Amino acid sequence: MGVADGAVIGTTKIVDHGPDSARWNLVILAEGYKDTEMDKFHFAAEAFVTKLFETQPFRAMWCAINVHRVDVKSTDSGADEPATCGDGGTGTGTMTRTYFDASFCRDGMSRLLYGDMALAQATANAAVPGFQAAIVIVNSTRYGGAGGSVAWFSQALAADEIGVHELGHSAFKLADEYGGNDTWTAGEPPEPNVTTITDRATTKWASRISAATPLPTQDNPGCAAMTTAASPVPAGTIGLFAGGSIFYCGIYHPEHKCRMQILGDPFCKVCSDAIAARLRQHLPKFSGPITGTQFQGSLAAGETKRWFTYNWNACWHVLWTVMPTAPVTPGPALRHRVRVERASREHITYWISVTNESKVAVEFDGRYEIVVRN
Amino acid sequence: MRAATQFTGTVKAGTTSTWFTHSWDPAEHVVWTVVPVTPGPGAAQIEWNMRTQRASATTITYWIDVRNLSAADVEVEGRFVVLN
Repeated sequence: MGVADGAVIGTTKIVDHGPDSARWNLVILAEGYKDTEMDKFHFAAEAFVTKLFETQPFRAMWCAINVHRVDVKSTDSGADEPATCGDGGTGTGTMTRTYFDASFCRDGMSRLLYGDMALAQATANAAVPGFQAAIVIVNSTRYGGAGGSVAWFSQALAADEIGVHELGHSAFKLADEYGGNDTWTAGEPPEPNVTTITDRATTKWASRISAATPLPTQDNPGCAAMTTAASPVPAGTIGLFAGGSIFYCGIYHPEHKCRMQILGDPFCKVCSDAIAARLRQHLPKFSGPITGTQFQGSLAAGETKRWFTYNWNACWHVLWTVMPTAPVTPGPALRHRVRVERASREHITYWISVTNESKVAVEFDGRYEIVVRN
Repeated sequence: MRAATQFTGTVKAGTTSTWFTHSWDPAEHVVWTVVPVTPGPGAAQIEWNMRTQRASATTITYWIDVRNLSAADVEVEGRFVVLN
């Protein structure tokens, strides 16, 4: 089980926002896909990228991110499924020959799915030296995933939600915000989204808590399960809510609901800001300007025409001007209006309407200025 | 010289939304652009218009009107470039 059960086929940069040295590089690795199943992995990787793009704050920070897909073939499909698990769960008992040796039921938890973390890291680093985060998509429809130095998730229903959650752990050091054990006693945790401190002045996200918000905001005296009570404060209020790091009490998370607690919910403000803070430093900076003429046109007196130009990188800041190529007197000649279409996640189409306000025919250049380029 | 995204938001189908951003230095040459974030291939989705207010001797407020030309809600990103 391991590298003898597969091979790295190659790497493809599937989101390219500029040089890897300047961007935050996410590497997506295949696990448990046979050579004949690479199209399936490509589809899963693309679906995950789309999910990430649809998720704040990744969407707002999209231009900071490059994504690389590493095709890794395995001898068998899927992952190991031990027949019995420490938590009482059961599996098919299937043992597979896969490159990263992924298995469900890690650490006695049925849904905990991961493989050789060190090998995954080394494979990602060989593909993209100095990468910032790696995630492994495991070719199984059973629910599972894990954080750690590398994130893992399966192809269960809505699996990309699992992937985003696990990326929160592995890439941004966020803790789970749900319980699983009774009382946390291990002292103040390092993660930015859980705390044991209930003092208003010194708790981890103190500056974000309104003076009117009670602390703890929602406690859990029973300490036997996560409370199912409604939030005592309006949605979005930052406070101290019992539960986190897989403990029901003695530890608090910042908002009543968050993606680090419930898949499909948005990241809470504290988590979102922690993610954005890491990504922001990788956003493209001012560069250029790069100028040029994209098209040439001619308009009869009083005429309006529209031009479109496509496949412009959506991360570029592009300005448009129009310039007559011969003298036009008296008075103004050309007026233009820019309309914009997001043709795809990565590309923009510009629609430029130009009106000739003079009484003579005018020829002109349609010019661009790119002032932020990757 | 610097550039960044100043605001994000959603413009309902067929409507116009206005954002304002204040306390800009009048000495700065600021250019604004707006792009859709929501993919909508096939036709132009938005256009925008920028208006300027001298809010005080030392500050400028920019007002950016974004018109959604499409039949679907569009999330937009308002970007600035300071050219000097």
